[in-house]
Amino acid sequence: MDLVQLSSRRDFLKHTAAAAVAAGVVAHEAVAAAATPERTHHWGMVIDTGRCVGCEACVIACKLENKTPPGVFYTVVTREPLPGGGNDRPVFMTKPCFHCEEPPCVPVCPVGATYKRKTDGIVVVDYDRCIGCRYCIAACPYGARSFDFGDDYELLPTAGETVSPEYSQYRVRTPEGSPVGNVRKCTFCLHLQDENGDYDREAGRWPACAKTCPGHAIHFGDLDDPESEVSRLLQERNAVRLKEELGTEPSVYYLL
Amino acid sequence: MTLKRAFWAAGLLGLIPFGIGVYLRLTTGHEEANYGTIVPWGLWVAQYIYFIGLSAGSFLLSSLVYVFGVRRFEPIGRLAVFTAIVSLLLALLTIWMDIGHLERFWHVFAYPNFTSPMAWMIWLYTTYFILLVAEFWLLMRRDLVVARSLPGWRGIAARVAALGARGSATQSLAADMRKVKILATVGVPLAIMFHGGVGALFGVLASRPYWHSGLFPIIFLVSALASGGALLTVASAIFQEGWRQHRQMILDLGKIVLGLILLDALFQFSEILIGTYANPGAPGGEPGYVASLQLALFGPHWYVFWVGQIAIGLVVPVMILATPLGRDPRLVTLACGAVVIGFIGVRLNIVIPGMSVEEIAGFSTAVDDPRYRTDYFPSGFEWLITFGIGGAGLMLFGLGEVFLPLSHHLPDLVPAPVSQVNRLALPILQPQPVPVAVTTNRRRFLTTALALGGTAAGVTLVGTAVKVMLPDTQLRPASSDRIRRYGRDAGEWIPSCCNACGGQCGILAHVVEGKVVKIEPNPWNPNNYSNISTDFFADYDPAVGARQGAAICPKGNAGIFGLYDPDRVQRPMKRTNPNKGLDQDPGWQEISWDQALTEIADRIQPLRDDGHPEQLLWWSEDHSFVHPQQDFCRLFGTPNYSNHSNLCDVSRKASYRMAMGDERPLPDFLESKYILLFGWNPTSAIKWVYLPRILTQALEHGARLVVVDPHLSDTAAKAQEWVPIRPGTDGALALALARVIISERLYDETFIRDWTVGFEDFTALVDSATPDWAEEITSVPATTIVRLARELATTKPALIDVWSGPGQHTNGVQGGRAIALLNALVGTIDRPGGMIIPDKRGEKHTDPEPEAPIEAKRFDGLEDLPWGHGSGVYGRGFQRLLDGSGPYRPMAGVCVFQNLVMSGPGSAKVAEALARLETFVVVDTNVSETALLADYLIPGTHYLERYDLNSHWVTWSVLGLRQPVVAAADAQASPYPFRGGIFGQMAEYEFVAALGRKLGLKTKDGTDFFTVGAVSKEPVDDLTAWYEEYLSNELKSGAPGITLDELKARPGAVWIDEARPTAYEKYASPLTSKLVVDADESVWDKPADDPLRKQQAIVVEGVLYDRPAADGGVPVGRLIGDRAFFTDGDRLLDGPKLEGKKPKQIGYAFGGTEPRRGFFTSSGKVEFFNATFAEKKDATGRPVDPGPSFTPRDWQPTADFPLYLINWKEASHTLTRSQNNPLLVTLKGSNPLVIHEETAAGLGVVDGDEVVVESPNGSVRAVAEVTRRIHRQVVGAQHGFGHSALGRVARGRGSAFGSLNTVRYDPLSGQASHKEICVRVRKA
Repeated sequence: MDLVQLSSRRDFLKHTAAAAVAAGVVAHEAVAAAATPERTHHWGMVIDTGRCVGCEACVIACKLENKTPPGVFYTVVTREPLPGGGNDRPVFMTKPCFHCEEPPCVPVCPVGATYKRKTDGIVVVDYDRCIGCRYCIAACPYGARSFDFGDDYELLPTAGETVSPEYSQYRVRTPEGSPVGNVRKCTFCLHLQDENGDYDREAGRWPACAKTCPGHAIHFGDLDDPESEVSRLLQERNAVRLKEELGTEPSVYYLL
Repeated sequence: MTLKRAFWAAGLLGLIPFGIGVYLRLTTGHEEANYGTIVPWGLWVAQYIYFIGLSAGSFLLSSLVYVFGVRRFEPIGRLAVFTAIVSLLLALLTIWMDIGHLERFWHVFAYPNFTSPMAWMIWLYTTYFILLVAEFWLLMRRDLVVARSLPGWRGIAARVAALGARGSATQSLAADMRKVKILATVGVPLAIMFHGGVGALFGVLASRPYWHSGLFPIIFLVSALASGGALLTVASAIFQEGWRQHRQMILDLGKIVLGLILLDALFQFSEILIGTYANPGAPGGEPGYVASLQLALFGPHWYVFWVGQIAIGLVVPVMILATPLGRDPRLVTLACGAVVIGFIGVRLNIVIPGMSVEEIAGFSTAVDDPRYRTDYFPSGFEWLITFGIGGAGLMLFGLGEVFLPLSHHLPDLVPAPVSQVNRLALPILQPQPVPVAVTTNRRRFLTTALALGGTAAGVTLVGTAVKVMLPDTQLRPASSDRIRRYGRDAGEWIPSCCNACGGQCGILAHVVEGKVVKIEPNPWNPNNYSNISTDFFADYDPAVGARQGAAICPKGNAGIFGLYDPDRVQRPMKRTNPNKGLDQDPGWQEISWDQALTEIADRIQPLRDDGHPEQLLWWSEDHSFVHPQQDFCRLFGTPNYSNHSNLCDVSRKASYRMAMGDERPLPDFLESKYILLFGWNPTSAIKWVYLPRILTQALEHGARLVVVDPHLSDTAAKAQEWVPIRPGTDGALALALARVIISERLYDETFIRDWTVGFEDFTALVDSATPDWAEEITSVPATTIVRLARELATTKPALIDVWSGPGQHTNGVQGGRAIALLNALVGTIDRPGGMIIPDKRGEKHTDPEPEAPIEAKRFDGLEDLPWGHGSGVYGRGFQRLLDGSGPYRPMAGVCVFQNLVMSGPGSAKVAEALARLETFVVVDTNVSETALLADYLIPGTHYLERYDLNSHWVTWSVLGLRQPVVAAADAQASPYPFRGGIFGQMAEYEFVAALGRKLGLKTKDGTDFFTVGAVSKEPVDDLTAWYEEYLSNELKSGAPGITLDELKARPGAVWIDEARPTAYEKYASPLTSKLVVDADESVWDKPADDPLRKQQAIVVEGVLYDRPAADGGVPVGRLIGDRAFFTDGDRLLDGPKLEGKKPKQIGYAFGGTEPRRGFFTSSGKVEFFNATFAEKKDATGRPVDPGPSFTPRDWQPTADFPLYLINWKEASHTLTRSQNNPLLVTLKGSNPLVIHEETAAGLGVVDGDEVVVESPNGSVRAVAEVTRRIHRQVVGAQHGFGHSALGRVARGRGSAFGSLNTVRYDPLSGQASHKEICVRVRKA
């Protein structure tokens, strides 16, 4: 094996590798561009803390809508004392998934099972892919995710098959099958969307928490639509998002 | 040898937990694990990083030998590589157990995510594992070749493991060592990467401040080396008798370990310093970091840090290794063992405290669910797996020691006089020409490596391609079959009304395949939206109801769990144990419906036969199936029908009746600008779900909300101001407010002049009620009182309301009256933004006339109470049952949908009283505490199984239908046909009707009341059909004027009176008479063209007589203008006032000429003072105060019992009814005793302490919640918990304080005085 031969082989390999990498990158971009659907909505919530009375109807309505098992809550209501109030007066806040624009849960998933839908910004979990490592739970700064341990409401035997309506898959709950063993979270009641990705509020196809709220505190809508109720509220009122400093850009706002 | 034996024993023992643990993991998944949502990683993850650290550490130490050629560690070279393999296996096994789907581990390769540190880790482990195995094989190859010739299974195993290698020549060995060097060299950065990477896996998470540090990967590396080195030292000591054979090596290893643990300690210290330094005051720094650190250092598992990490892991080893003790290899081994153990603590303290701090404040207490806790401690199952894997690790080590010559090379087949060191080290140090054979081997090796790597790369590439190609369509597509079967459009949505509490809000029940799967708000029902018609109609579209959507509360949402509660009573039961008491097992015997009805009828029929039907007592709920029970009691002949209102708000009713003649005005929060609430918690106690909406809307519109309450309720949390007050002193505060308003002339002079009486007397009465006087009584500062009064009177419109807080004391009625009258002072009664008198017209019930008039007086002496309510006087009834002081001795009782024992004050006495009834029948869905005392327990219905008409509590006329949405599969036939609830049980009205049939109850005209249809007037065999006619009749004859079927067909099954919206100042509206005066001076109830009209009176010189004077006619009314009215003085009535008749006041002729509606008081106006009240006597015989003077309640604090005890209602539960609902108990799982922090400090009680609450009547244990949300002299709790029965979920949750009181009631209205107790509290 002489040197020339060696070097040419090396060059060949080098060039081939470089070309392959370049082709790969170009192909990746092209395929990604072609396959990436356009954003048609940006679903979000504007929650009015002035209207929230801490009754937790949203917590229960969500559980019944999504048929979540014990230990799994897609929203909870915190009631922390107002700092400096002197009398432990609670401030009520309902805490669904914030469907962040930069969700910290997504990049950490080892199998890409959780991702943000490009069409409407909803962060979803692919129950068929999720391995249940719970890294996303650790990564979420908002406690929005829970693990389905397989617990059931044992005292509800007559309800028959429990189905998880999520993602319109209506999975029948069994001890060994998904979503048992998966990480679960609020989907903005995605299964109530129509085929165009719209919700029909008057037909009751609306996130369960917003639908039941006695204080009418939970406003839901398209943040990209400047005419929507949520957009108008954000224009008119002072709103905050939680832990903005983390750069997560939540899609859930709180009116003060 | 003993060490080895102990080692084997531990390993073998470890296999038992391992087997059990793995079995449990495979069969129950993670159900038995204790981690959750807040702490999603537990013991196993800590164990995993522990083993990973050991693996990386051992491997890196082996590189000293194989990469850097440090000869003195040569003896542990192979042991180190083997340790790395075993540790890695254990780590991977642990983490494999930890993931939710064991079978999906390959997803990490097939669906790679290049941004996930966890994915990198797994890929690195895989590469590292392959490399380790290859290296180890090469290290062992020569020995395997040697071992091939061993006899028996050892030889066979060696032949398999040798993979066909034969040559054992020194040349081959040298070649192997070259490859080992390559692999080991590659392995070093790999090990650094993956273990630093594990640190990064934690470090990248900005959500967890405790981990989010650039130092984390470095700390992981150093700690890996320290722990790995220590483990190797111990392993060498055990397997190689290192303390004897390799003394110097052990000592050297000890020095390395010492250096590493000190370096690790330095890094840790640096972390802690930077993390806590940012703010000087402790706790300072990054709050999340400090919180985690505090948990690790001073939390409940402090010993993991101080004992494990510091004492065992650092102090002991340093004391040995850094001192002359470190010269004894046995002590060095001991020190290293301590490090190995101590590092378990290090790993635990990385994982657990880092997560045990809630990401969002209040998260861990938001729901009562074991998965939402910050205090994680591993479950037995987790320990099983942990110890099991530890044991399996020991076994692997042991097996390695048995099968593999880890410590010494096997003797050559042809013994060669080459020293071990030379054999290993020479080839490395002295490179030799590469023989052909080696080239072949290298090629094979490269091919294999390429094949493996290529496969991995290929799978990854395919996965990437899939990911790129399908960026947004990963989710399994929707299943159209299942959507059809289970989705929103499956089955039916049936409109009905809730009865989770008495609020009766509208619901839509989603029924699929005969089961209720969801309950949603009924947007057509105003009760779910607003109590003001203009507000409701502004958003109303008949097609969709309220466009913004309606609402239901958590109890309404959770109603399904009541329906399908497995603890429900399904069939009638009969008691077999004659002894009655809460501690007695009734010995239930299941019986048929026919037997139950027959036996009950047989036991109560004699009361009628003996002419004493009044010996039957009846208690009922007050919103459900009330009318048929009242009818039953009338026809049976007992006056003793009582219902729940007595336990609730009859005091408020009396207060408003005294002040303004209407018993239940409703607040118009929406239009109000100043809302002053006394002891009412509308946004949390809810009841009508429109309350949260209209109250928060008021605040949004700029209203000021002030809540006077001893407890900072959730409504007070929404208020601008909370005014803590001593319980039962609200009346004094109201009088003082009135005094300020009057003395500063801030009142509404016009309203007071035109529409009130008694103002002068009232002014005189409040003259002594100075703010200072009130401060003394109420503890509200006088300056606050003056300010509140001024705000109240000058912010318009204002409303003032009171509910059960002040009401449930023995002075509640007059106190409430003083509060109600504040509305008159500011002139907002029945005006926008004030207290509105509802126009509540719904169904019409006509009492059936019994065969014989009921002569007997009520057992509870309701007649003695001047403002008594038809719901009775529970407390007095129970007292009379107990001491035999009543007018007669009741023999039987029926209790429907009530838990008398738990609901009222004086639980113990109530139980004792009920036990005295000879026959006691309870109808309930569950075996309540009251049901334990029953002779017959009849299964009741859940509200989703039954009918009712609900006239809603809004300010205009609205009526909603409750209807069965589920039923038994088949209609029932015995003893009468009926539809049947889900167990085929009768609804309460069907039970009552069936019992009525068994008893043959008839009306005066001989009709079989419970058999004949109310509309058809024909016998109706089917009980359900009979009741449907009954309801139809009530609807037809009432304001809706429609049939039941027509109501069902309306949107939302709601009738809304659109023609008569919310009206204001109704008192001022002119009153027209419905009576028609004919030309012949006869007075009729209907116009001449109505064939059903009846003559009512005759007119003689402007006066109405019931009949001609010649027949003894008496004046019953007069002409006012040209209209005829029944009158009593200037009061206008809806019928003639004659013997035995009690016509209602419908208006007032002011000045004798001006017929107006007025107020329904004796003066037609709001009454600040009514001198005639003094003629009445209360239940204790005291004359009634004509004005709303303040009288202290009966029970005052004493030195022995210094604290007031109150109770309240919250959104999460309905009184004593909902504690068996597994969803509602997640919102609120118990009712701690709320106590002010100063009071608690005085008692030495801290939050979470168990305390004993004592009164003169008894003692109760409770858990203390220490807060500043309550008045310092008051303790209190949510009512309804502390069940000893009811169901599996409810039993044993929280505390029932009812037995601390006695059967106490207010002497004016009979209201049960739940809140009138004083107690002392001590630490249990």
